[in-house]
Amino acid sequence: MAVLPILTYPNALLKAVSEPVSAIDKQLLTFVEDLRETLYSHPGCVGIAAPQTGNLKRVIVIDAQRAKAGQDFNSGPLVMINPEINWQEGDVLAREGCLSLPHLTANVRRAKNIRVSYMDSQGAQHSLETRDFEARVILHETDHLDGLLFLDRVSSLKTDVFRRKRY
Amino acid sequence: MSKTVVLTGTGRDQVGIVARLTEALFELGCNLLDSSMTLLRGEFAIIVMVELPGKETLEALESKLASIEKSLGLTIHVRELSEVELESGDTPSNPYLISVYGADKPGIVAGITRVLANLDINISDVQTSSTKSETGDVFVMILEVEAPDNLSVNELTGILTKEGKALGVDVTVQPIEIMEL
Repeated sequence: MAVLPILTYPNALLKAVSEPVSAIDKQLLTFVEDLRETLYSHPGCVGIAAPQTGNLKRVIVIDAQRAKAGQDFNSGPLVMINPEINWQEGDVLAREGCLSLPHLTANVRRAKNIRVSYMDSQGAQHSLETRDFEARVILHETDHLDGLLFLDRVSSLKTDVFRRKRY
Repeated sequence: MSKTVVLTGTGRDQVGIVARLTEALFELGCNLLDSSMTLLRGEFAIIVMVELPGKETLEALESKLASIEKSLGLTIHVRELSEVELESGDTPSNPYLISVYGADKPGIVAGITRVLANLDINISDVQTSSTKSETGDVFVMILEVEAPDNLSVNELTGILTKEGKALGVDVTVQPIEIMEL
């Protein structure tokens, strides 16, 4: 078990597309545990994607209940291997912060409702319909698997991107 | 030792101000830190924090800028920053976005910001705009502020709504919630 260091932009790995996981082996399970431990080592952090630790595999770990915004509705801690967004609808604007862009926050439009299919760490296939904050977390983290940061989702530097002042 | 200076400038807007200014800074070996540049109607305004290499003096920078001031019709002021001024500080704070709008008249900004100052609320960003229309001039102000921990959003809203009523403007307070992902 280990807390992995988080890569910050401009590290080029954050802009790379991650590879699907082909086999759930011991090495992968160790990595998933490390990823979970890394998530919980950051106060208030609700999601992390493998490439943020420099491992270009399609794995994300989320836990929406760690944030106030996710307390009303969440599915608890989830490990998602090869997650795929199969459906999304609606449009919500909210301000996001990201461990890999520590000095910025941005207003990002994302779907309100999504359906995501994924494999858990035992290899079982799932399909999850979720909404609001948890949907945002999953969309943000799956973006990392495609090398996308929130800066790729904003429409205006002037109105959507903010330098963190003291918060 | 490199020095950090803050450069502020304003002047009649034209194409090429930023290019001319930043070229001159680049030629001196300066590195730009943070900057804010904006157009207020026909006036272009610049605030830039610059790291000046150790071998360059403030005088060298000023003389380089003097020719730009002249040719572009800008007024530029340069000031060296101390270590303390460069720190952004990391005290935890509660950020809020406050919108204030109403029929334009003198005293709106002074009235609202005096209330904020009395509450020990620090302003980190403010933008205002006054638009003329046939049905009356409208004034809009958007503030980003940092409030002390012991002030709730309800208290702040209550105090500002009261002040807004006295000034004849509408006020909305929203906590800036950042979703840490």
